[in-house]
Amino acid sequence: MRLQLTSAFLLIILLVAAKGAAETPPPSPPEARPADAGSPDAAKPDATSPTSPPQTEARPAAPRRIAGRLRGELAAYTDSDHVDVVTPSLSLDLADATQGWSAHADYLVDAVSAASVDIVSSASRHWTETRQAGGAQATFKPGDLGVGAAGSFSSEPDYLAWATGGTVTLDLDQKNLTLLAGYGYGHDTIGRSGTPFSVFSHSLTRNAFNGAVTIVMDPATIVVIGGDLILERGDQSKPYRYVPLFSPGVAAGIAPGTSIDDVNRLRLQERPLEQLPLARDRYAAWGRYLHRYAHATLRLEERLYTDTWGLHASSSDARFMIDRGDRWLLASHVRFHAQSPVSFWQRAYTLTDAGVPALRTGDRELGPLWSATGGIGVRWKGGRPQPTGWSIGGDLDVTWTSFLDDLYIGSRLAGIATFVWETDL
Amino acid sequence: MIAMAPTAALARKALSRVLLLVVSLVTLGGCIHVRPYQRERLAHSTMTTADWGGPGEAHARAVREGATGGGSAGEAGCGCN
Repeated sequence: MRLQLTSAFLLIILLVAAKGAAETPPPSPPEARPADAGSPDAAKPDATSPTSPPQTEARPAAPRRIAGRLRGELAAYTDSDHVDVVTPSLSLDLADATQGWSAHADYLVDAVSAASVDIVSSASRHWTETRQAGGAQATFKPGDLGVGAAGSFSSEPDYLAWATGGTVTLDLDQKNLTLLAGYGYGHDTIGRSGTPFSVFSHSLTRNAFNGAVTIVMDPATIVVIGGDLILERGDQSKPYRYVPLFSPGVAAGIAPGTSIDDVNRLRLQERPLEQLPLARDRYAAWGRYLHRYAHATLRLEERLYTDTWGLHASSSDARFMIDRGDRWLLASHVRFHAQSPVSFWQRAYTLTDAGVPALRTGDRELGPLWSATGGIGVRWKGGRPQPTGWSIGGDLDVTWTSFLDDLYIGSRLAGIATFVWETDL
Repeated sequence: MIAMAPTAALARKALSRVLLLVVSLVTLGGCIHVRPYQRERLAHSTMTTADWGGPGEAHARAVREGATGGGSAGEAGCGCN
């Protein structure tokens, strides 16, 4: 709760600071219309107005020192496994290029409603929950060397998480090469809904190290290459997830996608909770290629991932965005993700004379799967007579996921629609 | 735990290859020098080196994919209990 209040307080301070910056207009001629004050076009004579002063009389606007941007987003997620999530979010960015500092704050709420097969198979019919999350970040880079600090929190009735971290950046070769090194520490407290954390909780700590190099390849191309090492320690087993057990003879006949009714009919009486390993080292190497054409941008991303649980994955992402005049931006998006299962993954765990398997899970995101995403998006820059510093838009992504070795379901169709609103302050 | 040893070896091998790639690209980057006045296209808003997706998309991805990485340090856990 203290973290939430701190973040909300910081957000309010930043909003007030941004408002103050926006309300300090640059010098403008007395003839300038109020709506133009503060905009880069404030001193430009209106060619369509017969009362406009001659251009020689217009004084140039002083450049604003602090630039701000406020962004609102409303995202709605739904899938064929009866999970719905609505996520409104707000973020604020402030930057002073001459002094070399920037600040960022964000806050979001997840309203989740779920009746997935995992919930139904646990004899629970429906479940709703609200999650709040936020963060703040500040950077200071007066010269080639820069530092940054960040903190974030996530809160819901049965899960608390906070994290903090820092980065160091160094520009080389007249900003044609930038190195970044970062470290983050996070702490999660995993509980059960309706039970105080003091009665039941698991702790999970996370030490994250990352590094990246940004290379300006030519006047239209940037390449970023990075790596992440994340060390997780603690019990991250889901306290609601029960794993069905079968006798060895029956388990061999359990096919992928076996229904809840059939599983309940064939499984043994024992149904232990999920148990995951208490340590996980995660490695990711990723690259990002950005190229700007005359009126379009291509973004390509690839991430290779492996961890000590034996999960290997590849995620490929591409976006192509086209300008249509001064106001429109049309975007397309494709993504493909494939992963192998963790080493202790089994579709049907067996109960033998040796007892219950020490490691067991029903989390299908730890199983073998692939997913393909296709999406479109649009942005429209508002303001008259020229586009000024605000825009609205939306994106729609549809994802098909194929679960290759799971109980209950073999695929999932999901969609996420996003409405975005941005304005310069 | 014995079964995880090959994974660590694979990870080390993959990281070695990535480091080699980084060194190669850094060397290549040094051959081309883009001056400040040549950066008009690089300054376009779509050329940000940060993740382009918003927080809703990023969270859905974090929950629905078993992998992670490519974000920034200091992110809180997903809360996907």
